[in-house]
Amino acid sequence: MKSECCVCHREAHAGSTLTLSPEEKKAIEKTDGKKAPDTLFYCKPCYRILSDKERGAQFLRGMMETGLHQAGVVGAETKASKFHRDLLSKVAKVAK
Amino acid sequence: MMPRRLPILADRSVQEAQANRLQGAHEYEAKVSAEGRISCTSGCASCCHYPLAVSILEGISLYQWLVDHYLWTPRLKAKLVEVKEQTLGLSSEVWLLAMIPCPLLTAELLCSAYESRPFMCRTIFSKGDPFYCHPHRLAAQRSGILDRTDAVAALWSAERKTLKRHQLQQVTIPLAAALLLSERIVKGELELEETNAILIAEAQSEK
Repeated sequence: MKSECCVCHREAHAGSTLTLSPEEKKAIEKTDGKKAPDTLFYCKPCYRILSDKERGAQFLRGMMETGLHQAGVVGAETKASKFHRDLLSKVAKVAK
Repeated sequence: MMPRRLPILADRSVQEAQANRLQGAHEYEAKVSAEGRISCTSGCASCCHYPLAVSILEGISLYQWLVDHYLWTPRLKAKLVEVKEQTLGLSSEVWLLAMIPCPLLTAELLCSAYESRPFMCRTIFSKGDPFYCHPHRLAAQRSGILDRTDAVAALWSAERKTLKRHQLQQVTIPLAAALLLSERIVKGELELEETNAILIAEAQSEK
């Protein structure tokens, strides 16, 4: 059965399904303002990118910077850079 | 030792396609330059992080150039394998946001195969603020990247005929995958005519 990838929104057979914890669901609901799903499906290419520390962080930075630019936020790249640095330091802490 | 060469008909097709690409790119660049100032500068490299797919004929041509210039090294090959893994089947939006650099881009942000760079790299020009060419800022639609649809369509039309001669469909695959496949073809592990199924599978892989 094909499922829709939550990142690229393409339908795929193979991929990874992650079950969200109650805390994660709560955080998503707080941001999106709608009920969070129980699981998230990632197609193989997207999962490979997001599970890579460097590329995954770069992708999230890109999502943020693109969104800020589209919203016309001044200093979007500075804000996105700070977010990227924080993300990398969090990853480094978790790795320790 | 001289590098292995393709069978004569395949070699002729690769050269013919390369000549078409060079001519098309020169004509396009001349047209664009005549219409006003281009804002692209050496060392910018924003577009070197954009998704790039090439035809197998272009891949072979670039592979041969890299071999001839002693740039086809184990290090480059390892990099190509890594980038192929990252980019195969990846949507262009995710590729763009993840900022995956071209495997031929050097640490100094220069193209290591500039003289033989693909058609898509030869025909990308901006007349806007280069700041907005950055992959994360493209969506702001202020990059000024010029529309080259006609130039690309003309090239594909010419290349389709050459590909047809070898019973190949017009499929493009990510650069890293194309170069690795080209090595197998030039080394004689695969016939050019046998690559159709592989190309289609790689183009549609893991979606």
